[in-house]
Amino acid sequence: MIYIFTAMFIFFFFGMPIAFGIFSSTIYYLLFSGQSREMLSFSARMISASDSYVLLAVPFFMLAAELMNEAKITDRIFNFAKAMVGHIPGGLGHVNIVASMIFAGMSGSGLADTAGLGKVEIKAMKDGGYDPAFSAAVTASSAIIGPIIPPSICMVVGAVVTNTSVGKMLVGGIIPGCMMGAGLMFVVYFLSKKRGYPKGEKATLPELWREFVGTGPALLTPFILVGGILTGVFTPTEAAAVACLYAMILAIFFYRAFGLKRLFRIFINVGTGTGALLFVMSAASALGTLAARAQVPQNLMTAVTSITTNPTVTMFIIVGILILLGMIMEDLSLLVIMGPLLLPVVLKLGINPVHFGVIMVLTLQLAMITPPVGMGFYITCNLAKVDALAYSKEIFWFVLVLIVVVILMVLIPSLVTFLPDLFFGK
Amino acid sequence: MNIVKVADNVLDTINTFMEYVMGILFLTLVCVTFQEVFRRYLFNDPTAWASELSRFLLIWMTFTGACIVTRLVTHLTMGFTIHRFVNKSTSKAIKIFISAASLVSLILLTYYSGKVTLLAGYRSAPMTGMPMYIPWAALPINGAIMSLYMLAELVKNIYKPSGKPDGKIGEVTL
Repeated sequence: MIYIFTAMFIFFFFGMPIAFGIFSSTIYYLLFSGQSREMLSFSARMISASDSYVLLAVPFFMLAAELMNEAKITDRIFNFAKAMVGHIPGGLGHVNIVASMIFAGMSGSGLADTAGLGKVEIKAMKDGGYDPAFSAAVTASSAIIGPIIPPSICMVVGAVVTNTSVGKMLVGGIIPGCMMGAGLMFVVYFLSKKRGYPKGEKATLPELWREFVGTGPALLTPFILVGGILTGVFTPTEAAAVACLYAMILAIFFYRAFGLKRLFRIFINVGTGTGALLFVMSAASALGTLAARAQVPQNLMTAVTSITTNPTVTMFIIVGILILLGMIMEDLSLLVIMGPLLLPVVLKLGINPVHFGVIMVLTLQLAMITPPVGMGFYITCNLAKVDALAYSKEIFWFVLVLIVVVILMVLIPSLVTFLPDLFFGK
Repeated sequence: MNIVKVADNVLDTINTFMEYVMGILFLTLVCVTFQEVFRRYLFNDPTAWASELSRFLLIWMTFTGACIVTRLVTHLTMGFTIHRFVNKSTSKAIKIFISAASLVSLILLTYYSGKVTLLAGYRSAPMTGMPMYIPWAALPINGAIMSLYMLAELVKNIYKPSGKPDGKIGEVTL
């Protein structure tokens, strides 16, 4: 088994796509160890991994976000956030964070946030006389709230790999997401005071109302999603589908953003993106089955319990490992590979799997924006055209605050589990 | 080199076709899900086949999507790779090695998934009564097309002067 993982990381390091790296290393291992019959079950497992009703939420979450981006609803959200918090010192920084939090309620992926809303935010902040590196840092660190606040593709996948309820995982992200937002605004406030960044004019009530009406219908989306799931009216998959339908009607009839031809193109793009993502997931899940049969999780459990049996300490170890791995690898693939391996350890020590799942997603997101490598970091630097070094200096305080949030989550599990328990029972 | 160009065009046509397939798959999925939600909440008359059919559509979307991104060379990769540290010719050699390794494993995957599909595919699905080889064929069929793409990629990596940017950047959303 160790051969598979070594070969896999070598393949990754040589630049092989993640999905290919996973199944290539497994296939070569099976081939050279003469277990070619196992390959039948490996390929069957790859197919059946995407045969999941829960995972259907993924394309719909992606579609909803893409429709919102295409309909330029992002601009409206930005203006609405500006009317709300633009007058606090470091105005646009706060606007950036609040807008990201609102958009987080519509989109399920941090990268969609960066690519759509991030572009608007960075441009506005640059025009407003903010340091580009500072703008990039705020944008990157606020974009990762997207996968924490529901809807979230990461949480859906996380729920699948940790065998917990998707609804619980999604709802579990609400409090951490809001805490992250508050923490980031705190940093922006102090840095802006120190550096004397400008603040905007305070919006009058009629102005605020006008922006609210302009954005209003779009703002309903998070409520349909979260409300539908919380009250148990919809399953997460159905909630996602309904949100999509709503976004489609809104984009085509209310905002008149695009026609049917463009809509078909969006379908193709989002479908392809989903496929690429789920392909990684299905390869990783097939590998996971193989690892389980080779008793890797059991061995890992013995190894961990020989060091410590304290749940909190174990969680800190897991967080540390995930941050290190997350700096070099994409979040979802790590989630799929590491989740099933770590789950038995976590269950054995009596840690709530929802708590574990949310922490895992949170940590991996944090790792994405941490230099020296990370998708979020890379994309934002490209968008803002800032040098990696300047960005690294700016991101420091933001990452520090987010680490504090993660530590709080680990120490106080009820921050994560309070809402899910309240709505779904223990 | 002319034959390479012709092959390239053929593969591009295949990929355009695959994109249409993808669009139709997703469109069907959206329609199936919507009608199910409507039926359940407005008419209180859910169907038995919708969730199974949508799961099968998802299988097809997964592998068709994987196939399309293979052509566009926009698969998810690790950001931190060896290509940052080595010179161009080593990097080229590594790329050739990687695409060859991917090609061989793709062919194996196609072969074995095809075998599984043929072996066990005659069973019919519980709700729709559809034989299982219809959803399962997604992997062998797309695997075969992916192998073709990967072969083209390998040829490109061998003949391309080193240092040129990879493939074309497709309009794929993540």
